[in-house]
Amino acid sequence: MTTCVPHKQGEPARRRESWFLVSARGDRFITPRSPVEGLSRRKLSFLPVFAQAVAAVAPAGAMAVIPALVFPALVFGSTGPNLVLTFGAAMAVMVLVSFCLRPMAKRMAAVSGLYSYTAKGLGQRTAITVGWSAMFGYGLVAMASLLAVGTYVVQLLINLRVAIPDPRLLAILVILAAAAAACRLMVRGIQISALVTFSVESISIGVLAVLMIVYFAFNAPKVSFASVFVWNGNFDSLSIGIVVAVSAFVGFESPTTLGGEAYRPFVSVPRAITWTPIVTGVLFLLAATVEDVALNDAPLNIAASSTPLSDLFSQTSPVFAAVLDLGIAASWFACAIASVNALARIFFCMGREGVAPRIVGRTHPSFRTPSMAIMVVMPVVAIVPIAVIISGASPEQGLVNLFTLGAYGYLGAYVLASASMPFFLRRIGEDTYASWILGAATFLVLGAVLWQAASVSIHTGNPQTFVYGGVLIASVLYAMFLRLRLPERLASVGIYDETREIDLFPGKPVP
Amino acid sequence: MTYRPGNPGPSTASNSLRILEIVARFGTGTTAKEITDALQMPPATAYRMLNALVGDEYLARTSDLRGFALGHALSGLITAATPPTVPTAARILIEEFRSGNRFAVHLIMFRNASLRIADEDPDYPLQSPFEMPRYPHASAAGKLMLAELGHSASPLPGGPLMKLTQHTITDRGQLEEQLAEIRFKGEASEINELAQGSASLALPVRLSDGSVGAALCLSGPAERFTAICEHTEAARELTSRLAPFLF
Repeated sequence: MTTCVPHKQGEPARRRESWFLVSARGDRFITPRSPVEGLSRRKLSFLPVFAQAVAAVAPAGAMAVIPALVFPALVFGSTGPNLVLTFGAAMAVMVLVSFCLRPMAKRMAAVSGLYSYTAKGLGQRTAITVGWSAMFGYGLVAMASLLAVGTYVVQLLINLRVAIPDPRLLAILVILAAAAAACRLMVRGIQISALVTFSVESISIGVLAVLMIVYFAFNAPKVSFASVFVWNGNFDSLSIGIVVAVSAFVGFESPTTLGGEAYRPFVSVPRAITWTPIVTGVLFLLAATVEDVALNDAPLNIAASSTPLSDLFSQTSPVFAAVLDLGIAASWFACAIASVNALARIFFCMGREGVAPRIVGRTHPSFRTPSMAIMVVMPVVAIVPIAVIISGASPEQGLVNLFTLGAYGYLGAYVLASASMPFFLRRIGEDTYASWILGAATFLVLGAVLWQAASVSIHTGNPQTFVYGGVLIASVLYAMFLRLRLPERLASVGIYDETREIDLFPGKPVP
Repeated sequence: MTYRPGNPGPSTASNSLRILEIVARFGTGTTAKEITDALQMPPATAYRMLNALVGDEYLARTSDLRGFALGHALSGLITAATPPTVPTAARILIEEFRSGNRFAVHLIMFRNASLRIADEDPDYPLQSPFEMPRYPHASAAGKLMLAELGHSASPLPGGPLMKLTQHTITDRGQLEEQLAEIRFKGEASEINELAQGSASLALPVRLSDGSVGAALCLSGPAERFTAICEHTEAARELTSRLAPFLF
């Protein structure tokens, strides 16, 4: 299907991009052309890969926001959930998921993460649902991140006592600027954007840690630390708390979209997805402990605020609070980049497969990034938070809604991708009893979490479950449409960075 | 008696090599099942080792993910360990040259930053065929290779340089100076440095891109070094005729 545009002498032949019949079925041992040609291949070292995972989780931002979400989502006070226990359980669930994803990451250099894993496991139609679900998750978290960037930058200026004529206009401008900067960084290449995100994230975690220590140095807690670990026996609030806490970890799987670009992907990607839930989990546990103590002390209005930590600090010093806001805003900025990075790569693969507009399968000729997918996605991601601000809805509520909705997307993708693992292994003849047990257990645990979230949400009359349910149904219908009308496109779902001749012995000649 | 565990369990290193050998024998597309059957290995162990080998790119998975093929990371090992083959046409040229002088004439090839004896003079065999590749700083061919590789890819070990004779250069600064001179002159020499009483002259055999891929060595008694050098021009002419046959 390759058509060569006639070219002038001396000018390299430019292939018109058409990947209609790319093989995802492995009908040859080694395919002559990679279906994901055009991306820079095997260049990223471990640090940017790990950075992608950490940034997508946005631990600094989540540390500041999520525990606060766990609190007001429930009744704050004596019957509140035990933050540490809640986060511990959420961490265990996520480690389980990472154990399910790891065997697949060790075997397949995926460019579209869970989407292509599922295509090889539970099949191409399920993969469409996972792909949509994951894109929905990444997209909403990216939107929420931009909204958070806007909110925290405005908050920062307020804390610094800067007179702002119109905070909403400023927030919109900040979001636009952040979106433009993120877009530029991502098109320039994952190397640069990942390094930016990683340094930003490390700095914000450092800032948070230092500020927390300083805060406690100035404000000795009245509540003893032991009270943090007291279990109040409330299972209901615990399970709901776990659902929210799980959403703090989502994004850790995003390096699975870098299989093609990572150097030694079968080492770095599994390593990144194994360690990210553990590292961020430990950070969350520390933050939860500290915040539990601090917020227990704090007046109720602060505990229920959308920016509880910075409100807490601004009691002590506005400069503290401003520094904290800057760190958190930076963390969310990194999260927006990481989420769109992952989203764009899934979209890019869909474009190459023909199950999304083919144009998004274009890569940048010199930066070798999925630039078209990035540029198509970014405006959509930027418009929603702006719309939230213009609509006059409270940013807090907007953040909560976007994050929770996004978490549904991730959880849905996790459930199906985890269930895919044993099938994936069986398909390549490498399944073990352990893989079936692990796959089933993770599927059940995650299913329970998702069920819990859905039932609570329906119970409280929140339309989120229906929105996500609508996305799922639409994806199933689309997959059915593909099966009936465009079966050859559906069959090409599941492309990944296949082994090339250069990866084989003798490969590149040794000097 | 060598140590062997009671069951073939995850005794890692040698089993990895056995897996590689199976894949090399069965060819691209060998499946995990075939490997576990051939080696009588527990599947879970085999999968773990296969994934580790794939991770380090000693193996690569085929497009269906079921099969395995030898990965590019093996190139270093195989290239360095395999003795080079010299085409008959090149051997004939070298043979002609040998008949025209009274010194030993060897062809040494550079493979993966190491010296490999490609064609040894049958009448005057190398005095130290194992020491020469091991200590490139002490031989003419080795110095020619070091000069070619430059600093970054230097195969010299980190510790002090081995002193094979009292003339061996063991000072790194002095060696660097000499390498710079070799680069400038396009020839390397060694007198009493590898073995007491012998000397040799090495001339580069160049690839079409100008880089050096082999050395033509003329060796003889140390006191006859000036006589060896008289053959420089003829040897140089031979290297340019040899190159198309070798590369």
